[in-house]
Amino acid sequence: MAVIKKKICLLGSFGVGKTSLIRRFVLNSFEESYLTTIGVNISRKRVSDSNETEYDFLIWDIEGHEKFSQAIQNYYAGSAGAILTADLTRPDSLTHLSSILTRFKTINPEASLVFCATKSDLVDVSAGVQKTYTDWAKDNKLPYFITSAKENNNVEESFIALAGLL
Amino acid sequence: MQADNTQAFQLLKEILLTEDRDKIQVLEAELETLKLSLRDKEALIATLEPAIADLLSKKISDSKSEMANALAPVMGAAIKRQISEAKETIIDALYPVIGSTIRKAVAEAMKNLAKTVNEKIDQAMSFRLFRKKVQAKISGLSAAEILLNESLPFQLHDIFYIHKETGILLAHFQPDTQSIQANEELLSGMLTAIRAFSKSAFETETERDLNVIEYDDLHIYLEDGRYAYLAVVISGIAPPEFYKHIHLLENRCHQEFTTELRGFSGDVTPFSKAPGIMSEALGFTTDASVPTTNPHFGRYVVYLLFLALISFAVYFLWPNESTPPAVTDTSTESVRFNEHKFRTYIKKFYPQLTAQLNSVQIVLHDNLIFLEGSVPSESDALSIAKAAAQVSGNTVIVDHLDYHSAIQNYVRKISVYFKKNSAVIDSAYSDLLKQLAGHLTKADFSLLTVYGFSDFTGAPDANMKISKKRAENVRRFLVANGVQADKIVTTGFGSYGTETDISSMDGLASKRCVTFEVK
Ligand SMILES: Nc1nc2c(ncn2[C@@H]2O[C@H](COP(=O)(O)OP(=O)(O)O)[C@@H](O)[C@H]2O)c(=O)[nH]1
Ligand SMILES: [Mg+2]
Repeated sequence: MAVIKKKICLLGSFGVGKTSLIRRFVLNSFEESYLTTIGVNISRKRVSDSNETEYDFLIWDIEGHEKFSQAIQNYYAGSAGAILTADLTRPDSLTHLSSILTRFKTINPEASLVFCATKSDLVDVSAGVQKTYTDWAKDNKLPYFITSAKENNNVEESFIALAGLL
Repeated sequence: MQADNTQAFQLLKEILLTEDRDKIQVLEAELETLKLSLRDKEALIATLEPAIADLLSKKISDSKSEMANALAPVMGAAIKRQISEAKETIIDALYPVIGSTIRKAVAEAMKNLAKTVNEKIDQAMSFRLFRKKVQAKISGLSAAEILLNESLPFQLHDIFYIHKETGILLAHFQPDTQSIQANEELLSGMLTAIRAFSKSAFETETERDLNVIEYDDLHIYLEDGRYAYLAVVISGIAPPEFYKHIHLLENRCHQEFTTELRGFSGDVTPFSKAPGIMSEALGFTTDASVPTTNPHFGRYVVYLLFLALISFAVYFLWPNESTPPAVTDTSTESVRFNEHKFRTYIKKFYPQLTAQLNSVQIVLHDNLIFLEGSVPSESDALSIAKAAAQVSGNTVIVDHLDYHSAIQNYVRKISVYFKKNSAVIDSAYSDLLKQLAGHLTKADFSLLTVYGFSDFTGAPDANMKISKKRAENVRRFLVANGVQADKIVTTGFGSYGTETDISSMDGLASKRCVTFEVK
């Protein structure tokens, strides 16, 4: 069975934990040396979905979604999927994610999407802090995960779920 | 981030130009020495003549370049007569090549500078993202261009065939299988990102694509295709023919894989035959263990010699009767350039070039005037340079006055839009298309591809049909206006992707269009 290569984007405001998610997921093959001036960092990881399709994920960690520049637009192009992230400690990151999602969709209307609420270790999930986030995901018909890169919660699950949607 | 980048490039530019200026001063001093030794015309003729004869005999003028063709006879004839009398002619012949000479010097400076630059970058926080030495070099960025690199011999290390949109590596060819496999997937992705970045970052300045990236001691040369591009990693200086082969190789790959590329969704197995095609196209034996040697090496040495000769000839450009010799003046006083005077001069003596001036930038640096941009032909570049020199009484460097891609740039910017469900060319476009036909009949090109598109409403096969019809109608129009029929091909894409600027027109209408590409 051939390995299928897919470009995946990590979307979300500055500091929500995109890089940390990828770091956690990709672990051993993280390529720090590719941090560049151009605002993209690419990592790679093999993922199989439940049907055992082998995917070779090229994960684009994009900085600077705040300004929707031509560069960002070019970076989004050709993505088969994206992981959308918002920080459970920063509600504004969720508001912002809506506009990021809209822009991403205009460029990749067909892309598969998964939503990750990040840094669950910092909030009291039992108190229902995450509700706004899960409601948002439901409104947008997105599969969602409450994740913590720090405590390794639901990180791999998110990526595998995305693979399942491709 | 955007601000950081601008700052970063600004700083880099400054660093480079400072060194550049120093280098030019050194160059000037050398030229001054040369000038003194060259005052003795007899001795000069004696020095130059054997070199020229040698060069001519090695058929340097065989090169396809208009420049070489023009230069050889002029130089030969000129020296046989009196050099001073032929000065004008020599200047004419030399304009297009001066840039290379300066750039060679600059290249050396840049190389020595690389360390300093990287150190500075490491210190500056605003450069934090620069620090890993991926130094993207954007053509048109500055006059400080690395065109030549003295690290001979030339070696081809890798060819990557990369899907344009996703940055996914389709195929990888390495003539020398001993080489270490770097993380090629990531490299492909990053190259693609760098390309995307440079496209957007420099959009407002010039319309040029990134075509060379410096990475450590390697040059990564990018040959663009419609769906995929080749990234060719070399060290040393490639012979000019090499780039032609790469260009052809891209065409070949495009033809071979058009279907796969169009419907690409991540499966790279069909591309496994690409390395074979590359190997064959570039004349590598099937025995990959044979070390890569450069068949053009000897020829290249001749080419360098030729450049050395040119640097002698540069002397003629500096001492111009009408101006104080710039060479002797190593002060930092900058040259002034009267643009109005220049335009008036062009209008008067080269009225046909007035329109071209919009695509030419004049960059002043120290005592030099750099011309950048693109014009339709080399002779136009020469005329404009000559006018600039006349007006300023100064040396003009034809640096990046690109004439080859002028027609490509021109054609790329043209789109013809259609009404819904119609393949009829709106009369509003007939002037534009006639103008295009006019340019094409004069231009030197091998193939014009007319791409037809449709919006995404309606049935796919109907869309495909109408997109084809749109392209076909445009083709017919061009042929009716004098463009050679066998040099135009058409392709219909239906609603699949367009390269048009969606922001400038309403979404759907902008998809109903025809675009062009010329090779
Ligand atoms: N406690 C905690 N901190 C996190 C987590 N993920 C990221 N961070 C922190 O949040 C900050 C921003 O993370 P980063 O991955 O760089 O965000 P990015 O800008 O989206 O790439 C860093 O200080 C991280 O250490 C998490 O799951 N738990
Ligand atoms: Mg980050």
